[in-house]
Amino acid sequence: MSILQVKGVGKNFGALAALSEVDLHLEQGEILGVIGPNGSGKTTLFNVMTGIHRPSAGRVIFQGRDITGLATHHICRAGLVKTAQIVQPFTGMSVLENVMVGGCYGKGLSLARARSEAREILYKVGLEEAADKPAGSITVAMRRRLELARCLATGPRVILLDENMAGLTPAEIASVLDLLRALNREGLSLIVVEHIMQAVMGLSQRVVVLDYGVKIAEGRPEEIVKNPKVIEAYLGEEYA
Amino acid sequence: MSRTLSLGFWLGLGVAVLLALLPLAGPAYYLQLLTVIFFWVGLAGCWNLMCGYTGYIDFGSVAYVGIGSYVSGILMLKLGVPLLWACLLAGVGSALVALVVGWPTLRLRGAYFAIATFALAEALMQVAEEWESLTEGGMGITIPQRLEELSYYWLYLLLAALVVGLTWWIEHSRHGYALKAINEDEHAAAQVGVDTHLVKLKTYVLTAFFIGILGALEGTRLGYFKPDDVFDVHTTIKMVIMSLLGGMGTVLGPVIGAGFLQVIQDYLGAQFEQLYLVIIGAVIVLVIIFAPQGIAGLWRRRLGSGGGS
Repeated sequence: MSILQVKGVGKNFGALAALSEVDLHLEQGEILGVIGPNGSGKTTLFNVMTGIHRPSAGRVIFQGRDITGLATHHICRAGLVKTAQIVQPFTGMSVLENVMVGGCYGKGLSLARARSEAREILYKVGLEEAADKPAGSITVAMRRRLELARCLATGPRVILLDENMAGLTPAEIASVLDLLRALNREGLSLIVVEHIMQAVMGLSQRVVVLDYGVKIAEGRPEEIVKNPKVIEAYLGEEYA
Repeated sequence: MSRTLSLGFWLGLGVAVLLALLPLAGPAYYLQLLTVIFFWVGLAGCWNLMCGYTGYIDFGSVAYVGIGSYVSGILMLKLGVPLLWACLLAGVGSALVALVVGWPTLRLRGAYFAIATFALAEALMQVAEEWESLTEGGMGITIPQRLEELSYYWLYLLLAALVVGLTWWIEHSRHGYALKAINEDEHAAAQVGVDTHLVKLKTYVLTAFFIGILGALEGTRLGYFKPDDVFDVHTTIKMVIMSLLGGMGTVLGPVIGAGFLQVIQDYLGAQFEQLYLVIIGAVIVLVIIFAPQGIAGLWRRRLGSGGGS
């Protein structure tokens, strides 16, 4: 059964239709890639799923429950979280404390429990040595991992990754991909929005393509790269 | 780490106990100054707990001072409620109003929240002016009872210690982390599961409770007040400045700020009657430029990066 379903979702900002009639489903244990040119509605789709935007039409079903229009923190506690495209650690806190907030509130842990779980999670994402550093002082690559760690602390079933690899070097990307695969093997389902084609194609079992807020293709990565509609969306008509 | 935490706690408690014993020895002038300082530590401490930690700038906190004064005044005058009970009920009344007001306004951000709260305080002053059958309007209220001067010293000390202790406790609790997360990035906080509205509302209601009690007690200490005395915008401004001077979002900030400002105000006010507001203004500008995190922040920076927690 699908753990997450998006049914006919539309989102209008004034006269602009950022999303229209988007259908999407994520299976338990799956990694789904979502690609599309800039402005194709990927981030909006994530924002609708996590309750930041209320959709103008359609429904979002998570674990069989309609979560359309629920508040962000309720959706998080239900087990659906997203990393932000622009990393936003709580800079006044240490790396460890950042992760603890997720444990305390996303998972409802006591401070002590949240602290010990946060240490485990930092170890898992490879940030254990930065635990006591101020979150504002770490590198972009570490911030991206922290963003992921903070999400993991909430005890999610599904994580939506919004360009979590942007600005990283190839070596850093490779190690993030390893980490995501390891998390996936532990049973976490992922939806990955990414501009770095190699990363998203290598990681995803299935890919959905958005263009101007409409789903134009869906299939296995190797099918997607050959799809004329997709090539047209990215490179223009003459290449299709 | 927890050792330094409990050290801070016992140190604070020790200072509070010493201050409580001081009247046995101290000269009256200082006791009076301290009474006033404790009152302001309580008020600024409440402002700091809500606004310093969340970054929501409440520009109408005096509303709860006024509500406290009037609720207790009316209870004593019209219903003959004993003074201390009246003050406690005034705190409850303030908290209830804060619940009703905070529910919608805490969804506003930035300047909108500041304006909304400012408008609330001004509107309540008008209500107190106009609702003469209840509040005696512009004639003001004369409180029938008063405590001994020293009782105010102890009560304000107790309330100040409670507010500071509560701030300390909250800072090291889950709630404190949520407040700091809200201050930094409310959306990010919500995304990791923080019910931001509820966290803000709880804090707002809690601080209104203490502000209400302080306002109620101060009403009885004054013995007589009018709407523009207890809904005076300068009270809010002073709460803001004391928090700012001492250090917003720190446990000791309002203590340092209230002590510092009240002492120089007392001293300069006597020495340079005309000039002292100018001097205070200059001090505030200097602190904002050179120590944007207040005096407590300056201290923390001196100690190096070991500030955090």
